[in-house]
Amino acid sequence: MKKKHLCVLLCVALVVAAMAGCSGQETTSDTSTAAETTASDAENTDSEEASTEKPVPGEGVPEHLNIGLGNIHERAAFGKLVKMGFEEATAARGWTLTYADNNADGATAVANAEILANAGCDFVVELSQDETVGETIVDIFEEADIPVLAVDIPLADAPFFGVNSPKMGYMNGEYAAAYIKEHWDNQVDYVVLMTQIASGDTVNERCRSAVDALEDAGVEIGEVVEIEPQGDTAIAQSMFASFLTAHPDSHKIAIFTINENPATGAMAAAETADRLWDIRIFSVGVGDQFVTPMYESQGNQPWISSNAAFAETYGEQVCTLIENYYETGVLEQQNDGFLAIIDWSNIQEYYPEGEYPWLKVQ
Amino acid sequence: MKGIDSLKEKFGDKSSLLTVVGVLVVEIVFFSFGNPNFLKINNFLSIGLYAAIVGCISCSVTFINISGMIDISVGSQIAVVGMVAALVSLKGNHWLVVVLAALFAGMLCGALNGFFITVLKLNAFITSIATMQMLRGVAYLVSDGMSITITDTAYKFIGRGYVGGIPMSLLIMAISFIVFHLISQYTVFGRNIYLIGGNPQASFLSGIKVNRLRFQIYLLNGLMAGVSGILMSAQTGAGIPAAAANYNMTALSAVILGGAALTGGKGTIFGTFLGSMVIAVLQNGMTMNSVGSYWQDIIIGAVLVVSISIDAIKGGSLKRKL
Repeated sequence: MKKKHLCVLLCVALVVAAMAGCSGQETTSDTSTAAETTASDAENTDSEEASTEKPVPGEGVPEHLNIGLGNIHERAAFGKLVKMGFEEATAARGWTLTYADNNADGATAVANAEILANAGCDFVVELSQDETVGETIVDIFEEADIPVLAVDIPLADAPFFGVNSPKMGYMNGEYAAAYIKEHWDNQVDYVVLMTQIASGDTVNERCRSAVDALEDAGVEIGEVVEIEPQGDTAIAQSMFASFLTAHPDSHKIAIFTINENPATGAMAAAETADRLWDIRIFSVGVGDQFVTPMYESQGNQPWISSNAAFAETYGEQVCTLIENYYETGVLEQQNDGFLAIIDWSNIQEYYPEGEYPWLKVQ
Repeated sequence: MKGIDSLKEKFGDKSSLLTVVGVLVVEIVFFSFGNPNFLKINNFLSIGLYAAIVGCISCSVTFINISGMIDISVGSQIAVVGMVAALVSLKGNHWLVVVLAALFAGMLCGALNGFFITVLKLNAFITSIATMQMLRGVAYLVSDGMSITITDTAYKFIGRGYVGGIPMSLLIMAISFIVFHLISQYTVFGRNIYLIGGNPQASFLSGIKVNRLRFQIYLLNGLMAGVSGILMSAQTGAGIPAAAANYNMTALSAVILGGAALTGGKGTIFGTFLGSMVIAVLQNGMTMNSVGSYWQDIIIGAVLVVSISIDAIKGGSLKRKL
């Protein structure tokens, strides 16, 4: 009998621990919403009011806003940095952040949109990996009369903030063209694009537009090949290893990747095949995968550059846009985020060694 | 003690359902403190709307488990159905044609599992691992890995429309649960499912065509994967090849939470309904309260473990030697 009671107690303790974890998360979220926790009564009243009386754009920034964030996913540094940036930016303004993880899944993003619409949000920021569910998500917020801002991946006709994908790809192409002109006599055997088809055509312009820039700069291109490693490092490694095996005589291969994962995979494949210096990589996104080997090799590696979008500043940039929206009543359709190409020459300026933003979220 | 005994007498084997109801009540009370919008009617309709996908497939997964079998390929089946629906819709077909094609695709998936398990007598667990992989590949193959947008508003109405203020998805789920409950309680087919799950040898010897029945159950499961796939693609407005990846476990969790035994012969559709509600409310409440996805996984797992542990303890697991 004692044993039975002990077990029931253990079970109850487990539930309590789980619930505590749950409320612990809330606390994190609430503490990150700052000073508001100190006046929780006021906050509750505010959020109740917010759910009945919506702030009107153009009539000034309300004292309190409930910002909904449907984040892309937290399996990589990018999503964590976005979350951290929003927590800091909303906390600094005394706003509430209602957070949902879209888990890189369109169906989850739609379900989360419905939850955010019901959670009393005044303004929602959406990062959905799947462009095809955009219209559904926008419909949900339109029905609930909540303004929505798409970040990085377009959502139907919703205003957009973030990476201008064609511009980002073109920037990479221009940078690569200059490099190829200087180091490879303005000629490449292959241009390999490592895309992620599921993200849609617009996002894949981050790779594909590079070819336009190379052509515009007059680089002689042998052939353009597109590889789809589904955003996975291991798949990228295996696929690129096959590519190298199929092209033993190619020694000038320029690779453009949609993020760091396929770039890491391509590096691993080239190293394994002992053809590390047959490739040059120009990627998108800056995180540990790019920065650490760059510092370790002191810039002496074939992964030449990566185009940074500074996910950790998204929160601040977007909250400024939101303030401007409530101040003026205007939210532009296209709002480009800040971009910069990082290479060995400027890495210390943007990402000083050991002071990386992702260390704060690890 | 007398009180507990009288409760036991009164509810008999329904005590496991009481545990699930208790968990559901605790969840609702807890989350209502976290967010003032949680208790609003719109939120509960939204919970029902999104619970429908897992709810529908859980009905047939309950039958599979009661019959002593297993199917962990339902997520892939739902993805295939969604892709077929999106492709057929893309060709400009009437929504009814899209629905029929999707249901047919689901039944084909079910028949595939049924064939290997009942004709070739392969192990159900291993077979469904293989078909899970195969069907996911098919889902990616049909569109080269790309999601396909569905623009047909009539079709999307199935997933997102409201009839008399109630979401269409919720109505479809309710009908599914009622129909499956009636089948399980009032038909020979339903009773035979319990019998073959409890003792397949004895059932066979008593004249029940065990393999044929199992094949029918898998076919029915495919049909319900069709229904869930339709709901998913209609709700999202897209066929997504990577969709429903976790739904195998979510459906199975709902069924187990509802009191069904993986060993067969035990379980109810009402229990599964409660189980799927526990999971749906948990997911909704945690998201509404900004709980991160890692914590969500831990908490959902913990609730499952705790619920079945309480149930097992009440069933005397601690007194048994083995």
